[in-house]
Amino acid sequence: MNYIENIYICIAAPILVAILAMSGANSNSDDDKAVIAGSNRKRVMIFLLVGMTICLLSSYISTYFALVLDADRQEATWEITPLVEEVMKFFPILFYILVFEPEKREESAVNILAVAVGFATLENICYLTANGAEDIVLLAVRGFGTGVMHVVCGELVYIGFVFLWDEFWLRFAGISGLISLAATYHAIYNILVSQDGFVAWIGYLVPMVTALLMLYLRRRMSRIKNKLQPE
Amino acid sequence: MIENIDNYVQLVILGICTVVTMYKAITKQSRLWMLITFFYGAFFLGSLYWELFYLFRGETPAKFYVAEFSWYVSYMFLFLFLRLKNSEKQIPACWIKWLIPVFAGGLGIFFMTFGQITSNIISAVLMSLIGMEAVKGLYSGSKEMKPVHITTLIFFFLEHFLWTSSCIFEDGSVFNPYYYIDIMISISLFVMLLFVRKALGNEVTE
Repeated sequence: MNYIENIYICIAAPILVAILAMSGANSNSDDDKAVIAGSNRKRVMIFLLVGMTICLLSSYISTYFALVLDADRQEATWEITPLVEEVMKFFPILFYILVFEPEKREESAVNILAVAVGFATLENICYLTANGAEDIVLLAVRGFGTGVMHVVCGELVYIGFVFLWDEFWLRFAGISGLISLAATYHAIYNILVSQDGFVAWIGYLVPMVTALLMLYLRRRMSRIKNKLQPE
Repeated sequence: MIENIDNYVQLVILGICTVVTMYKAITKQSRLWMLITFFYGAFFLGSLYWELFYLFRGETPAKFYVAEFSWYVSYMFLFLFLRLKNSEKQIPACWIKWLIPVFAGGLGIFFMTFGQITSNIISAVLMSLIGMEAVKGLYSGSKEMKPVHITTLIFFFLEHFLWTSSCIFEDGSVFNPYYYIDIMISISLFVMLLFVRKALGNEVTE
């Protein structure tokens, strides 16, 4: 039995206190930069907390679907959970962009990564409480694997916010498509890591390799962009 | 055996196509290349998921259709690519394109008699959109894009033949046409990449 609500309260409480403490920290400052930096830090903390909350809610929704569809544990992990989690992770950012209408959409979309990190943190803690913390190598690999996988999925959706937002039909179709793509990637990861031995290790390594590839591509992209800019 | 060969051939071809298009999308910084990358990427991930699920569980996924979602998404990205490319030119009304939804819808109703109403409706709608854009482009699109539109139509018809054969032939023997049509789909996707590469060769960086 995994008491996810209890774990959530225990982990979320200090973050919530930090957010409340940060609320009035820079409001009296005359320095604009300090105020902006303060609000950015606060926003990251909020999205981190939202990510953990989304993890909790996703577990409820996945369990509900698993019961309705009469799925066993493996079917739920391989088929239901990835789609539910990826859709749920997207909602806070969509809400933020539609309701608060931030000026810099691309920068705001980066917050999806904070949601992903919060999500992965609570998920990893639940894994620790259920499976113990003896094997340091396995835990390190799993920690990086799961954490990076959620970040990679978040980055996939982020691409949609940056490149496919201009026209309504492209925005709607593109972002929903990328969420589905992220869910399939997540499902493949879940299949691989639920196996034993070599296959599981491949599963843990896949997100890390993808993240490194994305980092390389992003650097290459910015290099090309700099070259194309007129001097 | 033949099923595995068919699946692995498709995975290898789609993997190559995804990597090539991704490289092009990065170096050209073009949205069109990005859409075509997502088309191949989604098709590849859907097929990979299906193959892994079957390999480790011994049955096909039946609860939430993750692979199907991925394939629908790939159709959608192909449609977005064709639509974005066709929108660059003023295209006059083309009535012949309406034959496509008639064909896809008719076959969709036939597939529904074997079950799965929602997924067949989604497939029919998305495939109709792809086919209509291809016909529209073929009718009055740019010269360089014509081979892409022809290959898209071949892909459209092969997919429908594949689904029809899966309804008629259920055995896993080497004589089942399903596997050969599936391999032809893989080849058509590779050929499509070659034509896309040629058509977008002079694509201006966005």
